[in-house]
Amino acid sequence: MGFGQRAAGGGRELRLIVALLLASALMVGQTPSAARRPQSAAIPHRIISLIPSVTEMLFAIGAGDAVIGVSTFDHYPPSVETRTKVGGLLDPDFERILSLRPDLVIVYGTQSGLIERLGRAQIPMFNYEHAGLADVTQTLRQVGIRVGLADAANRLALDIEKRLRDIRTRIGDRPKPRTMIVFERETGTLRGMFASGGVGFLHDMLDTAGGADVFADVRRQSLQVTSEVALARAPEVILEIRSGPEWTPARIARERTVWGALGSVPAVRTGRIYLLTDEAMSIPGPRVPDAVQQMARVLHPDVFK
Amino acid sequence: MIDNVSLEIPRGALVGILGPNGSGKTTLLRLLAGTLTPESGHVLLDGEKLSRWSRAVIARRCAVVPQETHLAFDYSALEIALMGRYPHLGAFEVETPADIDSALNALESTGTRHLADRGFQTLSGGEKQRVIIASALAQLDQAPGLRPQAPGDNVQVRTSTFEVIPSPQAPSPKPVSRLLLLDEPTASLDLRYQIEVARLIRRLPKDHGIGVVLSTHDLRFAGALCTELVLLKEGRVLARGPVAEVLTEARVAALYELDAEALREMRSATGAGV
Amino acid sequence: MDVPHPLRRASPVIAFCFLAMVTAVLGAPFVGTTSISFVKVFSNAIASPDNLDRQIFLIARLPRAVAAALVGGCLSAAGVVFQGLLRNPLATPYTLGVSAGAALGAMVAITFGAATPVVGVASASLAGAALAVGVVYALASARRSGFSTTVLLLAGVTLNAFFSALILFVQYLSNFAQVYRAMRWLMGDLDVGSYSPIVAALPFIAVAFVAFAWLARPLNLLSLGAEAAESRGVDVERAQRLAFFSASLATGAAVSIGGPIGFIGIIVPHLVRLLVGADHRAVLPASTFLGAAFLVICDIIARTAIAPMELPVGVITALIGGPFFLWLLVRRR
Repeated sequence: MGFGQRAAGGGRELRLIVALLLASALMVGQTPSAARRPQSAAIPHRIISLIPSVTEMLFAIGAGDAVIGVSTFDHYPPSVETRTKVGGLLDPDFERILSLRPDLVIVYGTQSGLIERLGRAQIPMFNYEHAGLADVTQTLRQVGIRVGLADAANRLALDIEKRLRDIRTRIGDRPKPRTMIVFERETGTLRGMFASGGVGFLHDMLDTAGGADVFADVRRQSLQVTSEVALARAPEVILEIRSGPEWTPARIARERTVWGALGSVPAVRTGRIYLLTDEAMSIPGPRVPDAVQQMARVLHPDVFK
Repeated sequence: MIDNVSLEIPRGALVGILGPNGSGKTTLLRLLAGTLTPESGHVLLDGEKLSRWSRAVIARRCAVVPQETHLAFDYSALEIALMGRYPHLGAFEVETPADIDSALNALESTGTRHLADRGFQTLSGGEKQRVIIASALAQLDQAPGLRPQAPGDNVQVRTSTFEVIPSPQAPSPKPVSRLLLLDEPTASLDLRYQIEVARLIRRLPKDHGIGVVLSTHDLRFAGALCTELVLLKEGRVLARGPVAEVLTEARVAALYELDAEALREMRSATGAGV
Repeated sequence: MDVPHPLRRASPVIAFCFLAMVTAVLGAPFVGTTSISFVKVFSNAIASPDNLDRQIFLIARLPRAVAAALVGGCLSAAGVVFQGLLRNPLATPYTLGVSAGAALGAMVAITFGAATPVVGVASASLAGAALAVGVVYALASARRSGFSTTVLLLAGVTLNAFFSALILFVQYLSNFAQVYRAMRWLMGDLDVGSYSPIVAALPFIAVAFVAFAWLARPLNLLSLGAEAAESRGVDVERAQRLAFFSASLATGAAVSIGGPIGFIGIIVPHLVRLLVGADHRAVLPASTFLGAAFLVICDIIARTAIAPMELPVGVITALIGGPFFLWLLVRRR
């Protein structure tokens, strides 16, 4: 029974299908998305934040007392340790979130399951999307408006923008060293190495800090780097973003020597391999100026003492 | 499970082990081949205990042809015949031209020489069995390179890597018995192939000087082919001896637990007597 | 009339496969996204650390070609031996649980390895493989009636399933980057960067191949069936145990170098059998050489197809192997 036969006798079927499509389109249109959900006019007093950078923003603009729940990956500022942990990007604990009776939950835009459930429970949400450096201040302002601290947020945002501008100005026209940012690799070897591509938060930080990304032409946030690619791109500086308590000076020194296998790479020959272990490096929040400054310090030591 | 079995296999005999399914025929064959060791008692070959010999030595004297052969991969008939030479070669030795001759001769004796390069899976049931028998014959061949001598034949000696010169003065070598064991050799074959294989088996003791022991549940086959019979029932020997003596109506009835009615039917089906 | 030994027909094919392997290994380091010149690589005019062509050749590509050849050869030969042991042309080096164990070891190292930087992913995967082999072997030998290939197969399949579940559990506990790394490891990665993983695996591979050489004839006879082989003088149990261990050793070594790369252990033996017949004395060497050449070529494709990104080599073998396999199945009918 082929399509031809179906079409010949299926005038009624076709109309049924079209009707169904129209109906479903209407229903989709009816479902309120989180963004169009009517915002509660009141200022939230019980905020749960699943995103570390937004948590930091909330504390920085003075909304810290309203924060009652944070993600398991939150560690800054220190007072978050007293808040209830409710999971993270992959494993948010819906029941625990509910039990805290929040009036605002900060979620990742990709957590569709959680968003749907919170929607059904009629809990207001703020959608966060991870993006580039410029979006940090934009998000900060949006968060400020949402929690009724728009002025504080705006002041902080302006401060961040000013500090980033200052860094750029101080670097000026200096030549930007070709830099590779590695954020993951196997301990003790150069296998399974992942670096930042020409798009995204790490790339933007590098650009502001006065470095030329060796992978600027790669339109992706990350890519796997083989030894051949590392040799061919020949970076002058290698930045490794690592964080965690296990990164003792001894371990850092050990991991730096692993790069010795690629002798012809300029960064290896001049010893310009830096392991940046400050957590702020990977959190697009209020501490970005500090992070960018740390990067700029190793890239342009003559400018930043 | 077989129990309390004691029997002798005379040289050059064609012995049939006859019995219903489950009577222990296959077990008995395995004991004779040395692939199974008896819990008590022993199996002797040429007066020596099988258990004292290595696997390879036994394999040079006893070859087994199973009821059916299922190959995992497709070998040619010649390759399968050559596999019979395994116990005659060392771990890394390659088959010599003498071995190849032995395999080819074996194929010829079973009428399958023309199938040497054919894939085994492409052969008919009868051809497959004959190739496996050829493999067993190659396995038992103690003097590869010589055609088996049959009395009355013009003896042709093919010299390859060695020659055997019969000399009246040389002391006659210790007789080496060789045994071919066949497990239900025709059970899975069509009648035409049954007859083909049966003809071949009948010639083996005379043409090759080897003893043949086969197991079967087919009366007529046993009666027609064998010189000696061993009746096996539930693991015990019911009777043994020359065919004419053993294969009586009374014995068969006892073996298969036939009542008078069944006996009458059998008589009419097979003609007067057995 | 002198009939030549059946193996004689296979010799030109084996020689061709060997040549293919040598050509592939010698040629592969000159092929890649960054073009390097033969002259520059071997010229002494430029100081070694400055000579980018030589550095890429010696550090990035040559070890990679050698690793690919070794892994391809091991997986193909192990495939042949497993197929002979299980008397089934569809068996692969991974049927009996070795790769699941290796994968679990690697996952654990990637996820929890930060706490113990001493244990690398390669050695953890070897440990996992050894564990899986041990369990399967113990189960298969635990019967009074001796070693059973049926139990071996069942134990292997069960272990595969169980370890896969454990792997999922470990991945659940991992963070993003770890999950991604784990997934990439599972897809195969031959970028060894140095000779140390190769040198570490070499003794195991050598032992395995010595065993393979001895096993060639017994495997032929095992094709007739265990009883038939036994009656021809083969020590069937010893051959089976040796086959299981040596093939698992070769597989474990290969997986520790490049991860569990699939399809080689089944495509190459099949192809080789079409060319040289079923005699393991021809199939084993031909499969080893052809498998080595095949994986070197797959790796070239993997690292040049979508430059500067790299495709995992396991994806390439799957893209080639899947359709080939379907074709085989259709052809058989």
